[in-house]
Amino acid sequence: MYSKESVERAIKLFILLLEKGETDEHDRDLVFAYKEDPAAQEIVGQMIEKEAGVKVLNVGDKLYITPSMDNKVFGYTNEELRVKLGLRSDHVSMGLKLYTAYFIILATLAMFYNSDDLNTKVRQYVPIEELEAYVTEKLHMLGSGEYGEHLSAKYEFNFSQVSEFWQGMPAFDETLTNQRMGNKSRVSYILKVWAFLEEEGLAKVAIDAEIHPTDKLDHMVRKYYSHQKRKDELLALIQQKEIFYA
Amino acid sequence: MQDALQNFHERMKNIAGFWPLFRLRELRKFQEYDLLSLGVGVLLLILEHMLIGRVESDHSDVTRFLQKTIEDVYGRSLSEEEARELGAYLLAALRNDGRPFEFGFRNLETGEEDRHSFHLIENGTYHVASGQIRFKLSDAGLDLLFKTREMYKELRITISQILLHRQIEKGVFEDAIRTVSSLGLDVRSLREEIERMKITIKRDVSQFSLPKYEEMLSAVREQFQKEKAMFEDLNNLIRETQTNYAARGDEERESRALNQLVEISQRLNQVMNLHNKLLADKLDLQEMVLEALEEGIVSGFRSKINFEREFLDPIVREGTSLENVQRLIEPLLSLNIRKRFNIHKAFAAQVVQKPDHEPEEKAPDIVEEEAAATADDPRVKLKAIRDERYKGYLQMIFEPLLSEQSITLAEVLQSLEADRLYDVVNARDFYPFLVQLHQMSPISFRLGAEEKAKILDSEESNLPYLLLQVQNENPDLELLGTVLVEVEGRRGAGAEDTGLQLAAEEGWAVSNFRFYKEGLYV
Repeated sequence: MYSKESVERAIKLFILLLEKGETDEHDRDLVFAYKEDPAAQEIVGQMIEKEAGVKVLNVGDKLYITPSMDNKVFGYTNEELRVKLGLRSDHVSMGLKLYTAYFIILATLAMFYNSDDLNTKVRQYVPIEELEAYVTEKLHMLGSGEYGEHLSAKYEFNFSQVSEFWQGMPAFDETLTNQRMGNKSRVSYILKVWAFLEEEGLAKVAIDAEIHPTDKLDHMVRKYYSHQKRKDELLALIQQKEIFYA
Repeated sequence: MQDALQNFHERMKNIAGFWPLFRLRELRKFQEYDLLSLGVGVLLLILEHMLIGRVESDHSDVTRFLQKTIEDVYGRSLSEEEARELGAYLLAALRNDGRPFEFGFRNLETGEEDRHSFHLIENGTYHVASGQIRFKLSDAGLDLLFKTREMYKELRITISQILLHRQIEKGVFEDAIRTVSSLGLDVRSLREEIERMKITIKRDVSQFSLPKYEEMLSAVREQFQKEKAMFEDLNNLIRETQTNYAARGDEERESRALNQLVEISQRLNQVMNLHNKLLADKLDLQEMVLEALEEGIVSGFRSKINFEREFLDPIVREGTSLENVQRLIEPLLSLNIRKRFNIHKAFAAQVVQKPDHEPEEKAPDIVEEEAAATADDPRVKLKAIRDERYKGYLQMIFEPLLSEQSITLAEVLQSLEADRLYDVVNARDFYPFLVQLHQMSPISFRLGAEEKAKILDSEESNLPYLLLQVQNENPDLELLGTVLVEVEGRRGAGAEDTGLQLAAEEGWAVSNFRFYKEGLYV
């Protein structure tokens, strides 16, 4: 049986995290009380997290909330993400554009977290030209395998189109002084995705040419992705082919 | 022989700091200048900006510094563009494109290959409004510059204190002000060292040895007490010196000295406060080690992650569906909280539109009858109606721009509902509104309080005032930064016929304006 205080504390914290996504120095007292209260932690961990489909991450003196996989209540639809990413809806298939954007996010993460023996970012920032070259190189090889062909048939776009879409854009739009404004070049595309990461508090974009990860991103990677069980689930997704082999 | 090679790693580490500077000489571009010297100059500039009371430097500070230095030393005047390019080039080299410098060497003490990795420059604060990152020197960078002053790191504070003591005794107050500033820097760098230690502990507590930590803590505490006593001593000295100078009576000659002493004393107090805070930081550290140890036991099953090898490469190789790729990044996203209409809001306190003349009413020198009379004045009524309409137009244009980089008038109008569209294009005041808005370009949404205070309401052309009101109602608009208004098609050649046929009447065409956010990077 939990005490009234513990239940209140757990709910208060949950509502606070729903509102702000993370705690800050104003919430010091509540966070402190929560950390001293195993019952409240149990309520959050065993009930709220499970029922609301979220995960509360605890890093040092901060708490973050993140949606669990396939969260129907707090997740975004593709259309909502398209708007958040600032991608135009035009003749290019939305799935293809989103795929490209997600790929850029993963590639950005790969540039910072690609060490086998460090559990933290390996560099302070990445210049945009370097990421552009990296994405271009990686996309070259996208979906050339057997399963890729199967998926290509299933969806409204295929993987070679993602690569073609990317290669079809120039690296820079030379007519623009401000690449952020454009939408027809690879650098403009990356800047759109970076602006999204910035809005989510995961990175800072400096002089439209460098991306600097924030502590929040570092914490999320260390706490969420490095967790063995969660990591295994995510890795299984990449290998998931039961539709194909069924 | 073995004795001579003791602490070989530490010694090589001290040498490594200079290596990036010498690499500047091997760069391909700008070989007409001594890039090593300019690199050191840039580091010194960053140091100078780190002293108490200054703002950390950013790209434009470096640009200005290089422009002036090259003019002074080489007698050549660089354009801003050239100076910026040189600055960015030097900064990229000094920051190794964000990666740490990796200095590899053969360790003669152990006989093995050894390496030391470090940064010279770190990110300071990020200035949101201009998208500029500010720089500060890393510990290695600071060390490097202090080595050029022949000082030892552990004793930096003590040595600066002794120096300050001498300078005050001798009455060289200008130098003393400088010393006190750099003393503040020493204290801050010690503070940052503690911060860094915290991060290391948070990252991997298992690699942290508790006895070593306790040993370090007691050494730090001892040093801290010594420094604290020294600070008090200095404070007394300043007070005595002040009394002495005041007693001499030669006002004109001594007043300058006294002013300087006041400044020294103020700055020293700042430094002492900072120094006192160190003690609290250290206590925090103690608590955190315990917490981290506890947490380390609980989550002992954490693994390392390599996004490139484990996520990105398999995706490329295997081809992963859109849904699954989305699932991979989903944990990073914020929660999507859907807002719903709350019926109880109907009973909540409502925002009442303030009448336009309210500020006038508040002014004491306006007679009450006069104010009352103006409220009934038809001109005032008409103006209020027009103002409301103008505000509606402003919201109609700028709110969609929050989620777009640029938007055209045609797109704005297309997104309107049929009734509203009819209303807008047939309103005669819409066209003068557009012309005024075009004339206002570039429109800034980031005005300081002072600039805002200068924008006043008036009978005619009060668009800036209305814009400010709209912005007050929707503070998010600040995110737009600066918005430019241009006639679409003018920028490209040969696109003359871009007018929009809006209303039904013949000959009613209006330019298709484009509204776009000004970039930060040119």
